[in-house]
Amino acid sequence: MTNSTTATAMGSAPQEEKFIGQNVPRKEDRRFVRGKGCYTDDIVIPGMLHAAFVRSPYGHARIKSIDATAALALPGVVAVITGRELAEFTTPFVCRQEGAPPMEMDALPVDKARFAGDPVACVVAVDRYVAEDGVDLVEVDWEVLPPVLDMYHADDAGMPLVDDKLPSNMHTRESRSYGDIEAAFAAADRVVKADFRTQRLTHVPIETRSVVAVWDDGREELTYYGAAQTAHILRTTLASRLSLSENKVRVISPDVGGGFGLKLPLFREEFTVSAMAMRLKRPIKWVEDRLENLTASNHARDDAVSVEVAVKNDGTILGVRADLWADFGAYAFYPPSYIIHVVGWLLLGAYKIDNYEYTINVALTNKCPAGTLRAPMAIVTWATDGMMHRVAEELGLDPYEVRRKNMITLDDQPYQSAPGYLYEALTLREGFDQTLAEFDIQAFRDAQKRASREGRLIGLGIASVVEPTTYGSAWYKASGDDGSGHEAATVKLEPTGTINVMAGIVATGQGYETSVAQVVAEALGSDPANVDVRLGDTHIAPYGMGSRGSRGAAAGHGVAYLAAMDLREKVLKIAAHLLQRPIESLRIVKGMIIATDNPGVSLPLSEVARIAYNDPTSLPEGMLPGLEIHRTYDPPFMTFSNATHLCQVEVDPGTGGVEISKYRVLEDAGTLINPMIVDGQVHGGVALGIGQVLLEEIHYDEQGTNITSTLADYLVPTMDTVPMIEVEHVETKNPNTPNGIKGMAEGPVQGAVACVALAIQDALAVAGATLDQLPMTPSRVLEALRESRGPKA
Amino acid sequence: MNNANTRVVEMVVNGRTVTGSVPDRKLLCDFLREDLVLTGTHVGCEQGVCGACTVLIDNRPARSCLMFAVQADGRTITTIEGISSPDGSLHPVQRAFHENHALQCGFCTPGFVINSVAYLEQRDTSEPLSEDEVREHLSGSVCRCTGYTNIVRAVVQAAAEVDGQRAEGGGE
Amino acid sequence: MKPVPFVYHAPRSLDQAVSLLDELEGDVRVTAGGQSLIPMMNLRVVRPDHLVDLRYLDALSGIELTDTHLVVGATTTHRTIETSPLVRRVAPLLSEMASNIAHIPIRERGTIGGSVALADPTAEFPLAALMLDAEMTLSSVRGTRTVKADEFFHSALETELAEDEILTSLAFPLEANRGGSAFTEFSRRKGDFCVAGVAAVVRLRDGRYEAARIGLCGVSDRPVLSTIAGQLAGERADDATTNRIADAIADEIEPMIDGRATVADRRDIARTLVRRTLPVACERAAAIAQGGNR
Repeated sequence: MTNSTTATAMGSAPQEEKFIGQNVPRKEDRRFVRGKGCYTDDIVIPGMLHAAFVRSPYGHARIKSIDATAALALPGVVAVITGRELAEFTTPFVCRQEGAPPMEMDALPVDKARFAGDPVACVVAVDRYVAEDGVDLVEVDWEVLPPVLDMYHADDAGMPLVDDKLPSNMHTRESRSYGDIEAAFAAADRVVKADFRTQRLTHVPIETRSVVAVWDDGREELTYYGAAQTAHILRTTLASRLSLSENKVRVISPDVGGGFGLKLPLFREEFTVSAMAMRLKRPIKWVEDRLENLTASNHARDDAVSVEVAVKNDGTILGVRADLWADFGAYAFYPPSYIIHVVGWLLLGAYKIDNYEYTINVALTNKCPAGTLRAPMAIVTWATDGMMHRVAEELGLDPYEVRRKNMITLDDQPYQSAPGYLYEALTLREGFDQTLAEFDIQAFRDAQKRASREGRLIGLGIASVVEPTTYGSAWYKASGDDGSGHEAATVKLEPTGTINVMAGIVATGQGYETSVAQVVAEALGSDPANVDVRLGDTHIAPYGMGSRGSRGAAAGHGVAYLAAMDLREKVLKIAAHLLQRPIESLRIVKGMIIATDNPGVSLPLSEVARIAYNDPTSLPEGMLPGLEIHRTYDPPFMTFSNATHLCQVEVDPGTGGVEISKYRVLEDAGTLINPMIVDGQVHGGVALGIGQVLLEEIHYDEQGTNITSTLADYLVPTMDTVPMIEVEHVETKNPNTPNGIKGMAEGPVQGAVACVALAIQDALAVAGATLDQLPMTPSRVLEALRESRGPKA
Repeated sequence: MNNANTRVVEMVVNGRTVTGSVPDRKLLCDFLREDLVLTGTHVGCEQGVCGACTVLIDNRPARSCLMFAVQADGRTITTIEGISSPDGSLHPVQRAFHENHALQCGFCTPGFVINSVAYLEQRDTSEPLSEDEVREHLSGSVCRCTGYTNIVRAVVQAAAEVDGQRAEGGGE
Repeated sequence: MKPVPFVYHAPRSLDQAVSLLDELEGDVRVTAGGQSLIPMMNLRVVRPDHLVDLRYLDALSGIELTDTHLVVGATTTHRTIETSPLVRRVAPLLSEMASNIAHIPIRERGTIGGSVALADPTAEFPLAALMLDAEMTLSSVRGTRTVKADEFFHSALETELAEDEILTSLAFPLEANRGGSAFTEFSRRKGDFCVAGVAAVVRLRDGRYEAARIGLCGVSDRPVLSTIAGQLAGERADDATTNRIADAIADEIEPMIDGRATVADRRDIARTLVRRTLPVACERAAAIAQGGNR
């Protein structure tokens, strides 16, 4: 961490301090390391009650009746409410998707439960223990129905409908075509096929979902305390469904123990608790327990990519056909085609392929609904690089050569991909080349052969990641999806010179209180210690689109920087007027405005502030008082970052276990605000990807029961699973965003899924074994090895 | 809770004697968080797997979600709030976590700090702490944000300082 | 997940404890460490009416060496056993297996008696008890009796322990501990319930096996001792023998069918673990023979 020099040399004026690009230690750490954070479950409101939910034990069952008599008779139980009763004063959530029938979701189901864990009634009691006792006493008369559990057979004859209002369990079947796919396949020397399948996953933030809903009966206003990655959007939805004016709802996202894309929608439990708080006129808390979190929050992934690649014998890729499948689960918190379409348009990855056709097939099943888990499109990089390796294998070519020759270079950019996305400032080929230059592949192949003779299997995986980070409003429009991509910030220089920043992004652990302070401090010539960042409170923060994808840097910090620069301009105009100096000659260094042509002439920022608020007649002619600037920013259609990941694994043929012995990332996320924080994001994303390849999997049995309902069954990476991760940065600025920021967060997940999977496939190939399904568990590895050995004599 | 069978318990928490009146089934983590308003101990799974709820009981690490408050009667407990000094200065482990960016959302951090402090205070110091040793003994805490690289670095850094303090025979 | 209401009892003597088990009605559970029981209670899978805590029964905790046995009190924690210099010297297999149980905070509370009484098929201490011919002492209002390990484990989570009995101590004959020992398990992550584990205790003379005992956990509904390990007597202690016996044991076992691994997986893993465990036990046996360690 450096401080810029303030000593003058040869008569030059002090330089403004740079904070962008500095490893500023995090301001939020102090409360977290001392256990003094404030997470939703830490919030206690006098008179607060506690909720618990009655849930379906069945994968699919009609609710014939719900009898809460015994529960209501239990001392300490205050109320019980069902979906039918909630429907009387709330409106359903309607999920629209262009070209498909809308999907409706009541506050709680009225007619039937659609997955095991589906909440059907809410018990409110004096504490959580009694609430759960009450849940035990609620009697539900169920009519069990057969569950739909296989996306490939969701529409077979005789299958019941998951959503009775829809004509079919296949919600979406759509194709997109670019270029001339017929000609490409006609001209091919060969068509190479490859399949990739990922499993059903879930987010597992260490802090589960939680909410405290408070109804102020005096003001007739609702305050919702709860993690809300998109706090304003949640407010709008919440107000609308409770028939409250949007002004009458306040969402406050306190400290959040991890989001990863889970804590985005307005879930039914949180909504029900809010409705009950209004009805009972008592504050109500609900904290999801881990069983609920694993079975009934959001699931993710569970998708498949089947490709056919038209190739020339020299390894040129002429065209790609892809068939994509997704098991979406039982309800729509998101448009069902949204995520799988991202897989579709990103599938060509780092390669120049002009002719492309993809089909998406989205099935509804009686499982927990799917949502956005950090890098929802994670299958993409594995499928893209994997298909290139399969091409090379069938053509008898070196896979890295095949990838290299088809890869997009800086010279190719701006490059428009077949589906119409503009790639700029991406160092795909360059990063790949640098990675290969620093790693002796030949030496590795020799080591691989030697190891094989000793009965050991080692493998290498290299992934080329294209990460879409920031979606602009134009993208939403073009996709037919509701929503905007803009972001908002307000920056205030207070009368005593301290600085406050409010923005629409919401923190879930990314260090925004530090990194946003950095960009604003740099713009205003102050210090991050003097800049406080307020996020997540809809009464305080301007209306923004929140934290999703990897938009925090380009959109959130971009707009904060722009707002701070607008404020800087006003500050300098005031200073120029007060100091009687031309504005171009002024700098702000450590909170002092100085004239570069005469460093002895200076004015503290705090004095400018005092005058702006308390002595406005001293301001320049026509200038309005105050120093609060609001600004919005709409990023370009799409912004990308890229990376190259490399890993080495050892597969133990005796146990099927996999150890990752080396992991390196070469990351290009454009301008980095805080490289230390970016490294942390890389580490965390890689760990998630490793978990996806080696450990994590949701299992439903034939009855539709989720049998991976504890953390002893659903395995997430622990310290011994994840190696030390080496990270190196290249910063190729994006030409269109403030400061050239690109952002990143999901790319590392994509990269890890790809390079660990490819490395295991590389190791298994030494033994002649293949595996194309995640997770690559010891059982699957052993089975693959047994198959490769053939039937015993 | 059902007001039948509450029991008086007394224990020393972060150096102070406290009493409470608790139902038999109230978990220790809930007693700490609700009755004593020590919300630094976090609940992540109630199964003993994630480690977020770890506290020191008679100076040894234990999952507070796997103990009833009544079982802690007469015991000495240290929570994350008792790790930093009364004057607010940080334990070497806390400081190392901060300096190494070994936390992001902070939810698992109290458990990691407690487990690290406990381990560093009792490990065999004849060898300096290695990364492998950290992974061997601290993999019982789950983090979803950091990917562990920085946590391992932080614990190794803290160990050097704690080893020195133990050699001098001093505590914090 | 919060437990159902129950009444908590903390008897001050063994007599009080067994009387409670005799008198209390309904579902009565005994607890010491609670590391397996309380997760089940939190899930409401186990719904006791009464919980009898052994925490004040000091006599049930501690490790003692007699002329013939290492006697371990049932409420001795895994961590105590893992780190005890006495155990490391006299029954190193016990401390080695203890160090494989979960993680330190779990071992600080979990007890050997709790693990043995629960009899999870993947657990380490039931296998240790079987390997080392442990003699379990059980107490109730009806008196005290001793049950040997090979009669104690009936099937998954089912033992000889009656509903009104408390396991008070485990006595490990010193004779069974003679020799070099080793334990290896395979699990998905460090500290998880293992997919399978192999323990070996061997004695060597002049580079040949004098005696060998090999046991496995996680491959059946209870810990198993290989019956063919006895065939090692007289064989050379070398890689060829190791591979042969590993293959034989892989075929000998009858793994159960569950969702965690297939029958073929368990055979493969058992074979691998025998290959990795037996040489270590032999090395240690040789070191003992040379060093006169005991």
